[in-house]
Amino acid sequence: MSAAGAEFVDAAVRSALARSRVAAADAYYKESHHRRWLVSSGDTVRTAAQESGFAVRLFRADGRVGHGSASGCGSGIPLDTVLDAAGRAADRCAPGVASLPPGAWQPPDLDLFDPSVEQVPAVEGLLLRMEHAVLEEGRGEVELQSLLAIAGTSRVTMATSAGFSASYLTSLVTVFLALRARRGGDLFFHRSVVAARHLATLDADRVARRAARHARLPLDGGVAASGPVRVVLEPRIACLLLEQLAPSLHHGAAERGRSSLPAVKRGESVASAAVTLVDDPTLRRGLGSLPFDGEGRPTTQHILVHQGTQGAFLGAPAEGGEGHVGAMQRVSFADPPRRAPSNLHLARGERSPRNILADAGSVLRVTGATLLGRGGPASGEIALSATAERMEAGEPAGGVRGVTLVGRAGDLLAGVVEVGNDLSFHLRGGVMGSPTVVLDGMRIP
Amino acid sequence: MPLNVDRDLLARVLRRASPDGPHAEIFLEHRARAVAVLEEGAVQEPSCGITLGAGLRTFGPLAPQLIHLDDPDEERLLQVADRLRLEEPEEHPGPPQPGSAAGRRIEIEPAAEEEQLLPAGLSSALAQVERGALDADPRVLSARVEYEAWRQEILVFHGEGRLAEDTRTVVRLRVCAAARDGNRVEQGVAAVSCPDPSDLFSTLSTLQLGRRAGESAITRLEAKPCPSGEMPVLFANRCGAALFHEALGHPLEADFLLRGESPYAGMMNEPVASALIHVTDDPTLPGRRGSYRVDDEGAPAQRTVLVEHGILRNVLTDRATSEALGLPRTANGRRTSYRDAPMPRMSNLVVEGWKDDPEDILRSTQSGLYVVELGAARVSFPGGDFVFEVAEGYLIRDGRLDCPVEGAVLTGRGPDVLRRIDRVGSDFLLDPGAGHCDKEGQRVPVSLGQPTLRVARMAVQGTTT
Repeated sequence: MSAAGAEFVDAAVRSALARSRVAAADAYYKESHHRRWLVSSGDTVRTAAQESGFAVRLFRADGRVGHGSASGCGSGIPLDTVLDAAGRAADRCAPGVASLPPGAWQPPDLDLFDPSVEQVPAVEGLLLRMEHAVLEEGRGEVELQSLLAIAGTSRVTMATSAGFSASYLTSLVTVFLALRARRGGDLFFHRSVVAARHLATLDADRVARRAARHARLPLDGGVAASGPVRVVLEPRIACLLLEQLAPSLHHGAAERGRSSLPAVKRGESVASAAVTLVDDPTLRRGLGSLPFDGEGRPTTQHILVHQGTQGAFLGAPAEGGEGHVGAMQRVSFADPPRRAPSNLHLARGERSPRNILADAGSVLRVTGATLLGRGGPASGEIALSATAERMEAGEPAGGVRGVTLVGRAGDLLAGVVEVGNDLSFHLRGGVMGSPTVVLDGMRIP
Repeated sequence: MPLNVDRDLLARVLRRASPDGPHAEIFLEHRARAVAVLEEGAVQEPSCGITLGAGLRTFGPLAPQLIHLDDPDEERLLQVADRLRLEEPEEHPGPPQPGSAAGRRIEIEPAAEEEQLLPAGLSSALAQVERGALDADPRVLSARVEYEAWRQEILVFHGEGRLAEDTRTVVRLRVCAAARDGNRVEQGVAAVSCPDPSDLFSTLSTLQLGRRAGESAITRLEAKPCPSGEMPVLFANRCGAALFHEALGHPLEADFLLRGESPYAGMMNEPVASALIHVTDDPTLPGRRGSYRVDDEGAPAQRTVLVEHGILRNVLTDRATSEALGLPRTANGRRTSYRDAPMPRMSNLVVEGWKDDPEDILRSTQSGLYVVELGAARVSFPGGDFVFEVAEGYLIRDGRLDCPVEGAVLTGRGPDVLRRIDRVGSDFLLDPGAGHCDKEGQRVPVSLGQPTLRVARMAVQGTTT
């Protein structure tokens, strides 16, 4: 399939160049296969799916560009139809928008593919271990509402008229756990998601037991008092906040009124010294890693914030090199490339969460949260509906049910007290990563 | 119609999938889509896309089985039929080789309609929207304008030999304006939808749309902290029935009832709301975003009365839930695309107007909150507890609108709140029709409409006491 895919995108580029007013072109083909298991009410429903699609971009000499795409691989929807569509799109584009595609270079191998993800017994064994772990840890009070697993592989193939031609394979297994905790008339829900490129890195037992423990917390929970509170955020909860901050990390966001952070220049203070924010599409086995970006260009790590000091902005010209900060990404074959963070993460600290909690005094450890839509993304108001656990000197001191936590984005970055050494990555409208975070600056209204 | 289909082929495929009886269905879809975004005065890379695919389902003693295909052709459709007949939906035949010419395809004809999805005047129209937003107030810094248009052709062929077709065109223009005053930044959003791109592009309407977004951002800039407490809450007719969508519409989708996750289970023909409330789901409304001629299972669209004078009368079903619950089929089986299985979904949710003068409803409210626009919402089932952001709201003092407020969040339990509606106005209004609904990873277009109405008492979580 790899050879056929390469021939297809090469032929697409040649056909595009044969069109009038086309100065350059690129072609992109993606094919995905996945299996899906839905475990619910004791039944397991298994399905499989395959998706494919391609896109061609036509570049004109005046900097206009148009993107045309189609599902499949050129048999049902002919290539000429897609080239016509891309030409119409280019007609509507403003001049000077696009940079010409890159020439030949060799992308790195980022170890994004694990063949065991395609092995049904391996995946089903993992799901079975998760089910048992939930039941054991749940102590009769936690049941599995549903368990959804999606395991599959994708291949991306690209070619450009300047000579770039490459392909890469990825695998991904994602598990969505939905749990119910019940005691008497009380009923609480808990959801968690884990994902990995390699099956072996998913510690099914640990993930499921932790989810079951967190699901049970509100059953014993009380009400939290109003006022300022120091919180300890589990990595995936910290990623939820990071996702809200991500749009503010773009070049010009503050000037356009689209940043929830104070307008600062490079080199100015924007966060506490515990904060180093990195965008890194080159991580081996990274969930958001890209051997080449959506335009076929090399990807690079960038430091956005270094120990509290503003560094690069996404989309700004890269210092001392070519191109811009941040990779151009395609959400799907049907979407033109857009600049977005990839593997955006808070760099890990030195100490373990256990040691941090032991020294943190009285804190609220947040184990589950959903974002409330208070304010808008630019206003910087962040509010969470959370379940949590009171901790005293590192020891559990009782659950808390249904607490609302509010804060302002700029205050939260300044309020990071310490980060742990337990960095993990999570799917959150993109890929975000964080260790455990100790945070001042939130309050319970 | 671009879809050129050999119907004998479809019949053969279905007989192969379900030789023992007419328990199979093919859903064919051709969709053309165009997207353009204007930012900082320039239309960024526009995009035109086409998808063509088939979803084949069988209905047996187990849950319906589904396999979908991109680029459907005869050989692979028959392979899919074999997999379904053998109850091996997890075995997928895989794609054809890229660039290969497959045999006996489902063909599409060149679609002149696709050109209309990216009309010639698009760039200047988007620029007009931006202009409208920037001219609304000097504090408006920027505006991002998003245009999306798609035309969907579907063909649903059943094992019983029934064939149903539909064509749906949806066009949406959305603008997000950002405004700053000192250190404070806010955004305002306005959107409009219609069935034809040319309907969007009169200069007056594009400028007005942009101005509305700019003014919304300014209103939020000037908003004061909202107090907390229990108070009367008025919902303006511009709210677009979002409260009903979450608190009533979703729990009345039959799959929630089937799973025991609806607060309205067992309440058919019982009071579930104030006697002033009359709610219908109506996909037959002309030109609305949620409208269709047939649903995505081929059933003819019909208007369904959900609540009549506060009494629960019907729920929204698709084929599977109708059979499982023994309820009438209401033709609400919808899916995002051929890659998805249908499930019960709303279409155009309408809360009928009543008799009260909306001005009188306001005058008779001594103090409270007036909600013009609702934002993000979370609802949990089966209890129906909800959390709603108020995107634009005003305090009511002495029966008049006072200052705009920010940070208000409405909480409550859907059934309780609906019972506390004590005034319903005569000013029914359909929303601009730019909404969509997300459920279990599937997005479908919907629209909403309501009059001004008042909930006698609701919990408002603000940022001051």
